[in-house]
Amino acid sequence: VKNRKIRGALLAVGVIGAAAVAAALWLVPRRTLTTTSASARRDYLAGMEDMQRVYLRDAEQRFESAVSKDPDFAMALVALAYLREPADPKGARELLARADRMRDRLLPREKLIVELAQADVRGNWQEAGRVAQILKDEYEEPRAYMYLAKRATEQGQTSAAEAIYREWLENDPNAAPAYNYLGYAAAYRGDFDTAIANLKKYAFMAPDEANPFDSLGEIQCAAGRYDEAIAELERAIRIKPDFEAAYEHLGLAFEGKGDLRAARANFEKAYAMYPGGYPKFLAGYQLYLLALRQKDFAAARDVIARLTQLGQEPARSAIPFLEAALESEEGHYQEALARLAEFRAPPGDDSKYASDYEQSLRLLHGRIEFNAGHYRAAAELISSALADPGRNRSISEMLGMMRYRALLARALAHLGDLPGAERLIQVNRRINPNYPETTEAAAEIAGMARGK
Amino acid sequence: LNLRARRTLLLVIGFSGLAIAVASLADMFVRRPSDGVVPYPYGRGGILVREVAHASGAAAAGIRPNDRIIGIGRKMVSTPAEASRELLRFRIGARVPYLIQRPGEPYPATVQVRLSGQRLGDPTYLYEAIIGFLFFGIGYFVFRRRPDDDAVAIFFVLCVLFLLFFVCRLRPSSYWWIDVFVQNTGTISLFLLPAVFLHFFLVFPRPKRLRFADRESETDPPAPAWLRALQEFLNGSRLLYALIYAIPPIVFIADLRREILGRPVAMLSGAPLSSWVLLGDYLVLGLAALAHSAFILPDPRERRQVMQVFAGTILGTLPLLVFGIIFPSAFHNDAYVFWGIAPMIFIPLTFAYAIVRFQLLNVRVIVRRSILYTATTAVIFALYAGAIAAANAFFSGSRLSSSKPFVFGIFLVVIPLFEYFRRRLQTPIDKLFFREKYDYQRAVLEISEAVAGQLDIARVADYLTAQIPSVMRLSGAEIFLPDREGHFAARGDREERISRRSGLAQYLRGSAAPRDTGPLRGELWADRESREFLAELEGRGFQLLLPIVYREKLMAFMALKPKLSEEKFSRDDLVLLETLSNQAATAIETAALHDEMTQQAEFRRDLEIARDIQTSLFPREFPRLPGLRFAGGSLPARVVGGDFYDFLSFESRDRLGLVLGDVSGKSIPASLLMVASREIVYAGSRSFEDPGALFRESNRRIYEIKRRMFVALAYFLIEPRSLAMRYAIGGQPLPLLVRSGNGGVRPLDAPEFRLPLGALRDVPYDTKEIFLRPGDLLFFYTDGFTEAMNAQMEPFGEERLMESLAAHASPDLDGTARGILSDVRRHTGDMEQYDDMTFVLMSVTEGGRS
Repeated sequence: VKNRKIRGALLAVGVIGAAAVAAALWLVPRRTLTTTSASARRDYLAGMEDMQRVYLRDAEQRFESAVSKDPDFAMALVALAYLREPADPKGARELLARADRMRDRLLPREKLIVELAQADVRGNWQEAGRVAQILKDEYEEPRAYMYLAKRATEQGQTSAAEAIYREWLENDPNAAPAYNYLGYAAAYRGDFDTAIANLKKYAFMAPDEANPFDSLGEIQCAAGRYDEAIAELERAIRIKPDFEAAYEHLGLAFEGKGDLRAARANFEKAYAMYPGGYPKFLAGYQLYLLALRQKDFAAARDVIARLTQLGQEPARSAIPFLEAALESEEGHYQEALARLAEFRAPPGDDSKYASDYEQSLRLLHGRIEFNAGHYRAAAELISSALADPGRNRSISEMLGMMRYRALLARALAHLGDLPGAERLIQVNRRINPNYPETTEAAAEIAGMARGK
Repeated sequence: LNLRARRTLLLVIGFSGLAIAVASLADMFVRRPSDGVVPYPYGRGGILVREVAHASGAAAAGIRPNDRIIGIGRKMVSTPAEASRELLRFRIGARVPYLIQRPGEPYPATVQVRLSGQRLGDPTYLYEAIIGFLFFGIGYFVFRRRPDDDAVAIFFVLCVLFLLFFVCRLRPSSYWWIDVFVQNTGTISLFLLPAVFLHFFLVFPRPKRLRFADRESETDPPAPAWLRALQEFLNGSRLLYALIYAIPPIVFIADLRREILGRPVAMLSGAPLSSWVLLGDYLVLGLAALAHSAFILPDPRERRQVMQVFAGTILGTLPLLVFGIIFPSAFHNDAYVFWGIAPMIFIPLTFAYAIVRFQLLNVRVIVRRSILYTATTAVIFALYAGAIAAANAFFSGSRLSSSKPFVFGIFLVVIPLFEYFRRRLQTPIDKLFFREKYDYQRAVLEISEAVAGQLDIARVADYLTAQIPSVMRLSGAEIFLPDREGHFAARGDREERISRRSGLAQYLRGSAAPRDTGPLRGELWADRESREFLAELEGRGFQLLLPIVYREKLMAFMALKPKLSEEKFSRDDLVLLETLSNQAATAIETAALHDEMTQQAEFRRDLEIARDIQTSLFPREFPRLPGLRFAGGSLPARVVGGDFYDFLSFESRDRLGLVLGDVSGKSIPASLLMVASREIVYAGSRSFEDPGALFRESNRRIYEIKRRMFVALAYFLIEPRSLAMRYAIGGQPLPLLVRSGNGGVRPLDAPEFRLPLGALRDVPYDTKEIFLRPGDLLFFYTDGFTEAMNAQMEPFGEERLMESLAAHASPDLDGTARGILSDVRRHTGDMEQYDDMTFVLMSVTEGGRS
């Protein structure tokens, strides 16, 4: 075309046309979910958002609503199955089977999600891992991140799990479970600042959920920030008044703050609320330790009696230890040591707690030896127990570690290793500058140093 | 780009910038929830708070600058776009949870969101926006008037960039995408601004020319090649400008790359630090260029203009350098950035003042009247307010002070003073703001007065060639005046001239408007003389011709060299020149008239002298010789004639010479030649008895006196005793002879050579001889008789003369003469006498022969 005007007009039409096509392609929404109901789609997306915030009950209701509007909504069926699986594995399998029947209509991403859910429910870890990896790499699917991180955690690969959660957060800063996990992971490393930062983000995203505030309070308590911990834990209890763990953590916070009466009251509530098992034993154990600290041996005996009445493991197996420790506190060292010899490991295959149990016993043994004035034996027992890395511990266990580290410092001081004792005190202070037993140990060691 | 395309492009750029700036302001009125946070626009991983608007929700919630907002609502946010999306979920007035990252750990806050338009209420930003629009207004004003000037075009772009910088870059933004767009535009303008700033000061008020590698004289050794190359590079080479404009985009792209790669980019006041540093560097260079101009410009007035702009720019930019760039980059303190930006208002204000005061950038000011009326109104208002206040004070407590008719009465009294004050204020305002115009008016007045009383053309010419360049600050002028040889010749150099009949002279007659030599040379291309003359003028640096025309007569013309400032001639200049030309034309005409009158008076005096000389050549009385009678006379054609006759007497008294002559021309030189010829013949007659020999000798001598002037002579040597008459005739008619008895009238025999004397060097004049008889009558005459014309342009002729002589021949010589003259007059009728008529009648009486 030689005419410049016509050439210009054609060029303009071409450019405008291309722009219009591009705009149309950009504006027309791409299908991301296979459902016939827009309302169901909205419910599903809201449910996923709730899932992200770990509002599991709300999420379940949303998914149910979505399924009621579109019974063939495969993604809603899968999500519902995921939430119901712990309580109703059979029902979950049926839901997944319904979702699988829609396979031909599903998008590739949806097919993979169905496959992941089925493999997970069937316990086919290898297949589930493969599919989750594809979903993560290709679609940045939140469920894939969660599955892979969970598997890594279960296999003890905590750093791998952390890496997965970090990757998830880079892709989606609103992945609340990642903040929760990374918060605890940082706390286990003693990095309470990072832990609190992550958990505050989690709490910000899920302000109607008690769990993040409980977690935050627990870690603040471990860091010695008792007032803040109390505020967060009370908020958690306001949201969920039957939140046993929150009461237990509140007891620890009050104990740290020196309000032993309030501490006892909260431990009591926790003990009363826990239905049984290891958590109930731990709540009882906190009561026991608090009584020992107060030299209220009657109360300690009362706790032992209540634990005995439970007639459950692991409390039943731990009773001799508790009695031995109590006797040693009362000054009956030989009896205490004799009771230790009667100890037997708890029966059953609950290997999950076996090593902790053994470690706890070693620490208690060390305490008895210390009370008997056998500082070297006490030091060896306590240091060997503290040196065992074990699994990731609960925050209350971390506090227990600090308690025994303070005891070890005292033992070392008695053995004349004042620098070693001081180092241990510093370790404790770095974790929690306000831990009462650290403060007491530091004062004793300082007195010994002056005396020397 | 051609000029039109460039104009269009600049307008598109300018109005696009204006549209973005206006849209930026208009956007602030859109109802959107706003938290009052001014974020840094390029942050990721949360919104980094740059400022918190006063009394905003964020301020109430304790959010502070450098906090990082990482959560809004229940969502974590990492970019302003995400923040905007979250904020839009809330209604105005809602209390929204925020999560703020501070050094340490996240801090939850609750922010009440408000209307976004409240951002405009920030007085700092309002001030900055006013500066921006002031820049644009001034830039556009200048551009409208001189759109094709390079410096003006750059100035306009500079003003548009300043507008974008102030309105967009410094805008208190929110998270809305428009903010991102607007602030990015502002940031790009901040990157471009330094380059354009430097470019402008490199060409303002005219392109810089450094001469450090030039030789001062031909004898100096040439500078090293690298130094010459450096000079060439710095003197506005394309490479220099390419470099100036290339650096900012390179830095911008480098920053963008760092941003994309996730590396930290140092920021300052929301823009990359590199852009500020670049601005600082270019500012310093631009100021150096401006200072260079302020000190080396040849025209002191222009130096003052530039010095003023320099002072304003220093005032405007130095605080920016210190508080806006050095402080934040060196001390990491940007608390005083506003105090760096605030004085920048001096830049547009200085330009505005320089434009109004000095017509900077050659802008013709249309605001003259506005300023005058504003000042007059202000005076009137002050007077009115003063009168009201005085009246209130004087009549306080009375009913008069609160009377509305009283106030109106004062108004009526004051208002008529408007015209009075307007007239009074015109001169001071012109003097203060329109100095050039005021100077021009004064110059016209002074030159008019000076030339009006001047009657000497030379002095008028000298005055004009001195005063016009001085008033208009030209590099030179030359005036071309008419000479006596039909040319306009340069007053200073007579050799430089052009014919009055040339195409140029004819062309310039048409109008008194000044003309550029370039186009004239094109128009008069066909006229070689004009073309060459104009080319020569241009070669000497002249650029403009100013015709001095009086009643369509080209009295003179001036050639003008360009202004010292190298600016083009403005319309004011051309109007001034035309006015001066008219004044000069009148003066020159008056002087010319005076000159002519003087010349005429001198001419008349000359004529009288000539007439006296000539009269003295005629014999006072006729010779008294036996047998011969004489009569004669001369009728001059004008005041003085070229004819003469005389008798030469000899000591021996046996001979008588008669000389009859006719000199070409009627003037003192002619008269003097007549005298000289007479003397030559008289002297020669003493040595040469033979008339032919006498003529040969006299011819040589007359030829040597004055070439191209001839003398028609006839010499008759009469011997009364023998009545022999020998004669030689050069250029004269042959005398007529009336023989005694009824011999009739016939001319004397003609000599072989009759050329007038002085025509050729050597003429072999010969002698004729005739023997007279008693009763003969001889009529010696000049050609005035035969060439006397009638209305039909018929000469009287020899035939008629012979007939007249035959008819009137008688012993009464006077009667004969009267008769002949009467016949001649009858023939010519009312026709003016064409030539002198001189005659001698000689009659031979009976007693003549002895």
